[in-house]
Amino acid sequence: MSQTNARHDLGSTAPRWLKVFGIVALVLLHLFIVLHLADPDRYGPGRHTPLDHGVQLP
Amino acid sequence: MTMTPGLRKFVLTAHVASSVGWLGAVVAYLALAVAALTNQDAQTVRAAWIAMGLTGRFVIVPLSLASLLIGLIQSLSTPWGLFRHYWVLVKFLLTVFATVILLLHMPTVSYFASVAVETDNANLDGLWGELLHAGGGLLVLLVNTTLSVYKPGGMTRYGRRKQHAEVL
Repeated sequence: MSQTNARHDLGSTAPRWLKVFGIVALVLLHLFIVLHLADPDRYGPGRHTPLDHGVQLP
Repeated sequence: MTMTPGLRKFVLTAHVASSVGWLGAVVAYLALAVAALTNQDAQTVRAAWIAMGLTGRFVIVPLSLASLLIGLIQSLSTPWGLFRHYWVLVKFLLTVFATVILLLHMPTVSYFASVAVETDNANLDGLWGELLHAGGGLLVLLVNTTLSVYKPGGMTRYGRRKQHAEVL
């Protein structure tokens, strides 16, 4: 572990964990945006219609 | 800017307390959304929106801002720095991202909470959005916690330059 850290500290490229993290973060961010666009009534700002999709007290 | 060891420990305690409090409040928020979605009873949905509005406004938002601000002060006043280590930089960017999304999302929560207070209606479909936002927030906070504990290696170009300059 310490050898890996030392190699990263001296090298000029980003560490492997950062590359893996970046890819996963990009995938999740895309999923988040797609969900907002695909169903704005449920996930997006278009949810401001409480009476259309709501429940009412008896 | 440097801190005395005593002040550094105090700031670290404040940072851990605000960050862990933020995480716990998001879990409680998620529990309210899940309870309302699984129950689907009108009273429960209304109560959940009101409770989520209060939790978001008076607990989650203040703790997120406190965590961000204290973390920033801490990084700039310790040898870790803000731009020297990748894990610190990633943690900072994730916290900024989570805080911005939270602040952009809060007006929607406040709106549904006010509808639940003022009328007999409560939005059921909107709770799915709360699951998505709170779930995403929880994931970001868990990643931040992991980064803080493991402190994975890797220095930025700026960090290596500073370290080289300090050695010389």
